[in-house]
Amino acid sequence: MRLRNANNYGYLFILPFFILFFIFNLYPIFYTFTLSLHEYDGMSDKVYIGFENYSRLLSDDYFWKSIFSTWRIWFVNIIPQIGVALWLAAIFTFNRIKGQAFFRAFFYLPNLVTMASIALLFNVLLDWQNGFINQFLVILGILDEPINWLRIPSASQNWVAFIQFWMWYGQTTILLLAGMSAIPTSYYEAAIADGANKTKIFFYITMPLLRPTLIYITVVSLIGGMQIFDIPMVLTDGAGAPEASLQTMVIYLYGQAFRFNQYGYGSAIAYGIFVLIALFSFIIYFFIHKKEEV
Amino acid sequence: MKKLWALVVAVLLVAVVATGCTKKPTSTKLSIWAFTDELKKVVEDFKAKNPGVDVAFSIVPSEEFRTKIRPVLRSGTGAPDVFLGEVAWVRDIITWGMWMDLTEKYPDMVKQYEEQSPPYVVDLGRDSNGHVVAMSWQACPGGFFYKRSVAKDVFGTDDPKAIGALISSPDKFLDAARTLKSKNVKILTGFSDYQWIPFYGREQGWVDANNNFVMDPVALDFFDMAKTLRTEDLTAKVDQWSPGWFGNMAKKEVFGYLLPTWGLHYVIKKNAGDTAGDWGVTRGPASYSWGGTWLGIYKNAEAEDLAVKFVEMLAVDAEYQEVYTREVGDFMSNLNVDAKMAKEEGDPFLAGQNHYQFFLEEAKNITPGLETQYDQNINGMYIDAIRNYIEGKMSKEEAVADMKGKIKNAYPEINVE
Repeated sequence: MRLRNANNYGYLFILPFFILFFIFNLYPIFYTFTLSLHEYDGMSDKVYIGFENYSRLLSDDYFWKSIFSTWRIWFVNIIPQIGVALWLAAIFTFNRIKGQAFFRAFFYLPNLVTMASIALLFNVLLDWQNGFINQFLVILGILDEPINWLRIPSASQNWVAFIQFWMWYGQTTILLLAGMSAIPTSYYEAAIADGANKTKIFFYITMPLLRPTLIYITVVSLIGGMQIFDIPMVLTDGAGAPEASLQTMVIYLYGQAFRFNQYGYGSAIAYGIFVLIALFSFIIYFFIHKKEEV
Repeated sequence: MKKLWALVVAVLLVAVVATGCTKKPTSTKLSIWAFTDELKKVVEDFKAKNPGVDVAFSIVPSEEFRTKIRPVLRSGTGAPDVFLGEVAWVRDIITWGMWMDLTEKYPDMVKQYEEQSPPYVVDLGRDSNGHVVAMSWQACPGGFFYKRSVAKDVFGTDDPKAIGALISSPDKFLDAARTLKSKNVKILTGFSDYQWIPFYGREQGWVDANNNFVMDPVALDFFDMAKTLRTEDLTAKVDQWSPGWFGNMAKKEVFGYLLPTWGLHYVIKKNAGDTAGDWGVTRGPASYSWGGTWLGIYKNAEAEDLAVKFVEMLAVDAEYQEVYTREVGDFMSNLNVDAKMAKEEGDPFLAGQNHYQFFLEEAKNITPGLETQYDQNINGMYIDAIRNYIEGKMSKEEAVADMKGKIKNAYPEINVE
């Protein structure tokens, strides 16, 4: 009897979390679903329309294009991000480098600035006629004429990907460093005794044992990358210009719900995004996981 | 016992009804939601005029204003007594029906306002019944502000009338731009500076009375003009509100800016640097208006008495409008005040030209009824479509079709053929 009482205290302690969770997470999640079955402009009364918003979503070219744009930005960012982070982590792990702590902090630094500020900064740097990047490239003779970066769809996407890469590679490096240092040194010693060189050690010992960390990094980055909003929002007109290339899924959701007051359709988009992210996460998880078993 | 309870309930009911009837005590706290800090000074003046009154003044950025205030107004909790609307979305706010019908409740104040203000300004604050629900303290006709020394060098004169004649139509404007270019001067910083001229040159706003999308021929013509400005390299190719746009105000490489009344004191004067005193203002290819802020009272305002006092002081009271314009330089909605200012000495910044005189004429020429509740977003799509065209990414037809697709997706209720 006494034991059971003791257990009940535990519920009391976790109660605050659940109260907050119910009010601020669970309720909005269900409410969003209800909204998605209605037509609602935020002012007049809601009109129930069943799954009409969802059927519209499936045939909405703008939405499909936003999925593609989001993926493209994420992909261009994650490949170099993991590549560079692996390279840096390997250097730090396998070599003795003076001031390691300093470098780690230095690489992590971009992550400390708010995304919106960084986007604003790049907006100024990338300015067509007066931006630093154009003027610098023209002075160096690399460009004859300044390029209007933020009016070229692929260039805009690449710049967003670059900003993402630059902000996150430090974080990824630190995670990989932790993953690498968790690998027991005895494996390396055995490999060296068997005559393996550094490259072989890296590919046959470090990489396979790092897979859980890599899965974690990729999935977390995917979830964040699919929800990318701040940078494309601030970098151009907030409506996805040029040519909808920066209209990511969440920018599209924001536009439909809050700029055009289609709260019902916006909610349906939110659920669409949720389903897609869950799907992609599973695919990536199984893709990397399966490889491990081979 | 039952009877006693019945009596208590009855007394309570009477008390409730009675308190409902009694006049509200004079309020001591007014809350205002704005999107610019322009009103800070007005709030201070209002407090000075009404001792013991406290004003809660909140600023929400223009782009988020509607998103933030909409749920507050719908729920009614924490709703401000007075809130503002900008020209690009004031028509949208009016459709919500959250502003008090001033024509019905304060007919005398509205009558006075209607008599002394430009009709297009009054019309912008009317609801579908033609009743005034929002009033403005300013009118924002626009002009072409130019650098006199450049005008003298290139055209041999800096007289506003003569310069105005040189740019009195889109074609003449382009010719003047070519002449300027031959002297290494750009007529404008960017093509989008010109957008309000076609906007007010149209016969019909973006959406007509039957909810059909309308692409006026004048709006279509601007595609070609923008293309000419771009291909012949007649502008500095810098976007509005970017650092370069402000920077060019102090440089002689750019001839002028199409800006309205507020552009003079809020934008040009603050960025003119050494060019102060070297400016003039004249009419561009057409009369136009740009911007403006309207004030309305929340229909269930708690401090209605103070709200009315505030709106009246700023939008109607000639005495206060004069004090305000002398300090700020804004062109007021009370044309009598502007007429008085027009008789005084001109602004040294404009080499002695009196801008009230100029704007007083312009305010008469503005076509009313072109603004719609969709303007903020459709204007943005329109400029983006022009960019797609002049950058060679799309043909004019493709750019227009792309714009129409976006409108259809954003506003399913609009008929877009």
